[in-house]
Amino acid sequence: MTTTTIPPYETAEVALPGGTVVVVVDPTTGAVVASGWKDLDATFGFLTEGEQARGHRPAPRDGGVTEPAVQALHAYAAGDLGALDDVVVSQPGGPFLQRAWIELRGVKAGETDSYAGLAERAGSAAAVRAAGQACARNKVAPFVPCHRILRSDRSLGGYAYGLAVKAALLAHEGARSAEDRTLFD
Amino acid sequence: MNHHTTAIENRARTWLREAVRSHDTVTVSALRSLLGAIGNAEAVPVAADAAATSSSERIAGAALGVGAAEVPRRELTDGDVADIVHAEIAERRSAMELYGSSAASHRLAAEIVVLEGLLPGRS
Repeated sequence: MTTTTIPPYETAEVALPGGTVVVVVDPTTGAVVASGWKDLDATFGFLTEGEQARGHRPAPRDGGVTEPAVQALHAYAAGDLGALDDVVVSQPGGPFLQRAWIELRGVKAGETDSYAGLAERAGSAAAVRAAGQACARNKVAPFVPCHRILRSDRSLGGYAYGLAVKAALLAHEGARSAEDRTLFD
Repeated sequence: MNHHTTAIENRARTWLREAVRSHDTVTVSALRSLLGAIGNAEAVPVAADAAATSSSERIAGAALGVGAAEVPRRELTDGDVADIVHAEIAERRSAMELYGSSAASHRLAAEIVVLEGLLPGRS
């Protein structure tokens, strides 16, 4: 029996509005497979048990496979708001979720959309809760920018990392609705 | 009517009410189908029903007259209901294979997302 050694995931941390983001990259594909405002263990925990069995290690000093994602996050933090748009990501989910996540990336920094609007972009205007699930189950924030989806009444809705992080990101991006503090109450 | 309801069923009923209000017809059809399947699973089969009636007949004659057909519903556990959700998801997956890539298939994919959201460990 031959055993193929699959290399462990590489991880990095970057300071962003809202706090420190942990990024997990698959060295075999170069794709970001998990990221968010949680600690390393919790972020790595987004992966399935089988995936987690591969283990993880900090990226080398030059960034290794995490370099494109880390550079993009630094650029974004410094004000290049479109920098996250082209980072390669990969997360499991059926056809509705995959399409919704692609459409989510079409909501650019400075813009917001509603859950109903996202449902419509994702091909089924009547799938509001499914669109909400696409946001709730997104494991690669902020590359897939679920923070740009607000309720139809323009209130913030939910966010896996807390509304303070969502508000900080929207304010950083200058999203118009983010300037209205009453939205955050 | 005061039978025990599971956490998943309660969640499904709350979501259904919201979906009706927001005209989320994808969620409405997914959850009506699920609640129907739960209702079927709770129903005591006719054979069991008849057995229950004949055995209680001697006790107080309560099985006669109006309401005689009312037997206690089967109580489902959270695990039973989760199995029903999984079955509803599996049904839609096979239907999607028949539809190929079409609006109908996409709608089923969205219904699957809603049903998956009901399962524990999902938000």
